[in-house]
Amino acid sequence: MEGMEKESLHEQFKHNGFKVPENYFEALEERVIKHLPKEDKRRALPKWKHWSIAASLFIAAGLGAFYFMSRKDEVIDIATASISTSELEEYENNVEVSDDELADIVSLQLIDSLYQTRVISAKSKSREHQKEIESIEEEYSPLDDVEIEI
Amino acid sequence: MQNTEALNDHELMLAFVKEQKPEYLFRVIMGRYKQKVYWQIRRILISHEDADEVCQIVFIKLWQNAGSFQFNSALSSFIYRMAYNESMTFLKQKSRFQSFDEMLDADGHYEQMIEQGAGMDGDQIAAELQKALLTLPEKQRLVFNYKYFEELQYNEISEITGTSIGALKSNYHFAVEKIKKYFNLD
Repeated sequence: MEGMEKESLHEQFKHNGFKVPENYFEALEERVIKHLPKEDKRRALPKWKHWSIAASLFIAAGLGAFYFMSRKDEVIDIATASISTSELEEYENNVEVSDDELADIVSLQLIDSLYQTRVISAKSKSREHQKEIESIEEEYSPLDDVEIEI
Repeated sequence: MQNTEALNDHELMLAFVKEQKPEYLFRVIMGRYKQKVYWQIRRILISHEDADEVCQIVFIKLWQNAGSFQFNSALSSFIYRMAYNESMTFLKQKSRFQSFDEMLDADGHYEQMIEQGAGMDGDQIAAELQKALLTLPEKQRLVFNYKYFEELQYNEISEITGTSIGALKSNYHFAVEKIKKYFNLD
C-alpha cells in the first residue's frame, strides 16, 4: 500500500505539473478514431477477386512480353518513330526556312556527325591514335565558330 | 475476440496488420501508448494545444504506416520515433526561420506560461524544474526529458532521435550540470 502511494506520487511528479484537460486521453482516442483516413477503413477485397486481379495482371504481362519478343527483329527508324506524319506536316507548314539555310544546316550537321564518328572510331582504337584525334579536332575546329541563324 | 490485453506488442501489431486494421485492436495499441506519446510530445512542445495536435497526427500516421513496422525492433521505439519526428516537424513549421531556442527566448512566453500556472497544476518544484529546462539548449533539454522523465536507455534515445550515444551522454551530462547550477546545488 505504501509502495503504491509512493509510486503514484512519483508518477505525478513525472508528469511534472503540466495540466491536461479532464478526460483528455479518452477524448483523444475518440478523436483519433474519428479522423482515421476513410480509404484505409474500407473492406478488403474478397479472396477470389485478389486471384482474378493477379491472373489478369499475369496474362497482360505475358502478352506484353510476347509482343516485344516478336518485334525484336524489326528495324525501327528512330528519327521518325515517335513523330506522327500529321505532326511533321504541321511543323513544315509553320516553319519557313529558305533553301540556302536548309543546305547550311544539313551540311553543318553532316560535317558534325562525320567528325563525331571519326573521333569515336579513332578513340576506340587505342591511345596511340591520340594524335590522330587531335589532328581531326584541329581540322574541324572552325566549326565551333560558326553560328547558325534561322 | 481474443484477450487482447494478454498479447505483447509484437503479437498485437501482427494481429492488427493481419486482420486489416480493425478498430478494436487499434484502441488497444492506443491505450498502451497514448499517455507516453502525449507526455513525450508535451515536454518537447510545452503547450497542450500543440501537443494535442501532434499527438493526433502521430496516431493517425501509426495507423497508416502500421504495415511498415519492422518486427525486429520494439514497437515503443517505432512509435516514439514518430512522435519525435512529428514534434520536430511541427517545431520547424512553427518557428520557420527561428530555432526553438530563439523562439523560447523571444518573449519569455513559455516561462510566463509556466509561471502563471497556465497548464501547470501548481507543483512548485516541478514548475521550477520546467523553468530550468527552458534555459537549456534544445538538444540537452530533449535528452534530459527522455532520460529523466521517460527513463529511456541511451540506445533507445539514440534510436528515436538518430543521435549517437556518445553525443547523448555528453548532452545529458551538460544538462544535469546546468540544472544543478540553476538550483544552486553545486
